[in-house]
Amino acid sequence: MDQIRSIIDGFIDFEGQRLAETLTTAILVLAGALAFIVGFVLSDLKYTVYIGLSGTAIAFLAVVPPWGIYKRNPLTYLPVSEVQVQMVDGDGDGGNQKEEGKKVK
Amino acid sequence: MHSILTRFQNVFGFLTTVAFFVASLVAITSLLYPADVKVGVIKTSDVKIAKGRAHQYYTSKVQEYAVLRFDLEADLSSLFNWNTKQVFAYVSASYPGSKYTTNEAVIWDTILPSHSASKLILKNERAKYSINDITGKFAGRENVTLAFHWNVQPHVGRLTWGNVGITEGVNFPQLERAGGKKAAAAK
Repeated sequence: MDQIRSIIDGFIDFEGQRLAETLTTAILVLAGALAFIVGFVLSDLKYTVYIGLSGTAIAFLAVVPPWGIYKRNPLTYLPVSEVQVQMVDGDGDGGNQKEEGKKVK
Repeated sequence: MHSILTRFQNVFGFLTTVAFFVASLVAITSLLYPADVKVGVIKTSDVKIAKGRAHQYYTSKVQEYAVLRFDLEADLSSLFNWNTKQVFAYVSASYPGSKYTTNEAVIWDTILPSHSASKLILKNERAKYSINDITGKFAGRENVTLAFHWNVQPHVGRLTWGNVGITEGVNFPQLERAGGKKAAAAK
């Protein structure tokens, strides 16, 4: 179940997100410029449409799936420390707040 | 750009922006190709006036119809550039009147789908549409002129219209009094 979820989510790391953003902009702008120039030079709007659509397809393929290149800088979290676990487990604060709440009422 | 869905939305959103700009550029390039339509000949070669019943079902009014024949030579190749989808060309007849002073009616039209079909050479072409006047009377009308119009329909951008070639006026003949009139009325 977790595997399916992770495939659907397709999370990537922060550096990967920066790269994906840059790639989206670069591929689409280049495809748009190329589409216009080729269509104009060859004097046929068909080339513009097809080059634009191919560029779009490439952008989708390159950016949307969570390729390995976007996961090269995974975040390493600090190990969970004993003290913190106790505080969370104890739930003392939560209990106190509730009692305080009652008192105020 | 964290999950697949946000990346998809991001790419698609930027795609619409890029597509809009490319389309705008394409539309702007239409200004680089000024229209240079050459009309060699445009003149009325024959006019016939016939009485007939109106084509509309709601009236049985009998009125006069004019069927024109005309010569036309026009070169519209300058209108075809990379952003031209097709060109709509039409010929109109204009005539003055006493009550309704300015009248114009389209008598013939055609669609030119490509550069290879951009030269029109018509000899004694019969008008596609017989025209009738708002008053119902046509015979003896003077100074009828023909004009050639075109309408460029681009792939992207705005429609443009133009016209050229107003002929010298011709006069409409009197109504044909022979059997032709009865035959037309009997239809």
